Amino acid sequence: MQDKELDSLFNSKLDDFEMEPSPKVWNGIADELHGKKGKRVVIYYLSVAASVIILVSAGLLFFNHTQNTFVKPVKQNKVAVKIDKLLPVGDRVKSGTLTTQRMVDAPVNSVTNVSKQAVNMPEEGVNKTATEIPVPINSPGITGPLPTNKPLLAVVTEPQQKQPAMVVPSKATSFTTTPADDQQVPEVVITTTETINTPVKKRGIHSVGGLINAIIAKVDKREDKLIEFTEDDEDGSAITGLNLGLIKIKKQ
Amino acid sequence: MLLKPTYTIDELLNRCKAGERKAQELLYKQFASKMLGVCMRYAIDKMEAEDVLQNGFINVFKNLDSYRGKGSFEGWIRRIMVHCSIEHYRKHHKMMPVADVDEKGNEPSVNPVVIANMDAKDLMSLINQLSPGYRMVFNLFAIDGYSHKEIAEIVGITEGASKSQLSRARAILKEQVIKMEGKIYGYAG
Repeated sequence: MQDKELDSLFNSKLDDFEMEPSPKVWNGIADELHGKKGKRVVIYYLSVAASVIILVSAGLLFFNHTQNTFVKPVKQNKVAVKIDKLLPVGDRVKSGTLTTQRMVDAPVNSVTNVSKQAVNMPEEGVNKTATEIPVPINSPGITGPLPTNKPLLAVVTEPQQKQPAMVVPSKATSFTTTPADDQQVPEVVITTTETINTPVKKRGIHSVGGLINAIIAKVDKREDKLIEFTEDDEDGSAITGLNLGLIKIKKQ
Repeated sequence: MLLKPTYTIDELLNRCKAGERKAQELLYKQFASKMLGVCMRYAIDKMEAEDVLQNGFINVFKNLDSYRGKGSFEGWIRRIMVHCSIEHYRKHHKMMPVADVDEKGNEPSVNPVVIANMDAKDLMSLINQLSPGYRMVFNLFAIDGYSHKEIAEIVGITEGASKSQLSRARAILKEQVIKMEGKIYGYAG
């Protein structure tokens, strides 16, 4: 066999030889051309974000004195009670619309407001400290003028048997009942104004470690944080825990 | 040449130059199998060939601007693959000095008809069994059409060394072909 014959044999057989590459080849090419570049950008922005956090932390530490107590701002709570034509309790039970009864404290002033008009908007605040002596309503309706020196109890319906509970005026509550007829539905709107002076103790940040712990806790929701420092003033800011994913160190 | 009903090779190249990932994937799929065939001839096994193929295509995409449209695009890619194969060889193997072989020595007798019926995979396995230096020179000269002068420049050896390695590679391949012929037909050559 001549050399040229051998060469041409191999040439003819192998010149157009094809073989399917595995998918990892294209993945490697795509990562090199696109993927790693994106990762580099992410790392760049993460490092910028970390720098900003550190600078802000340092600024807070040196220029901002933390407050140990604070006063909650005045809250204005509105309780809207929509009451249909008030029927005597006995009638409601009879008609089947009332399954339970509940006494609701209706301070004198608010009911007076209602009596002036079919109220749809709050006019004035109610002094919650008014003396209240519950007296059940058993007269039909409250559309007429009511005695202002007597506190009232309004009857409202509740769909299910529940433990009787007081209406807490800290959030808007609406009670509606099925209108018995086409008469105009009076609505009682009670606006209460209360000032809560609750001294709440806030855990102060006494050290750099505490500050960094607080910041990291905002970002890192894991039980073991990325890095944890002691918060004691005496101890300085020693590292007590480290969580790098695979590597976890926790000093008790 | 039409790759897809809607794209010509030029359109695809322009999109690849713009960094469009989908176009790059289409171009890769168009030539990957053929280029792996090229890399396979220079590599020991498929794993090594795929490493070279990956680096080769990365070079292709990074240097698309240097393709001026002279000659076929396939020929341009193929040359890149060959150069990447040689580069890989240089990094991972040392050139073995080879003594000159008398090209007009005793040649084993091989029936050309038998060889013509041999499978491409069998021939590929014979090439893969050659030592890296022989394999490279034989591939460059016999299959990819490089001259000894070009081989000497590309690989960094003398022309004499290139000729010697080619002769030795041929001799080994002929012996292997005869052995394979004997296995196929039940007698030792």
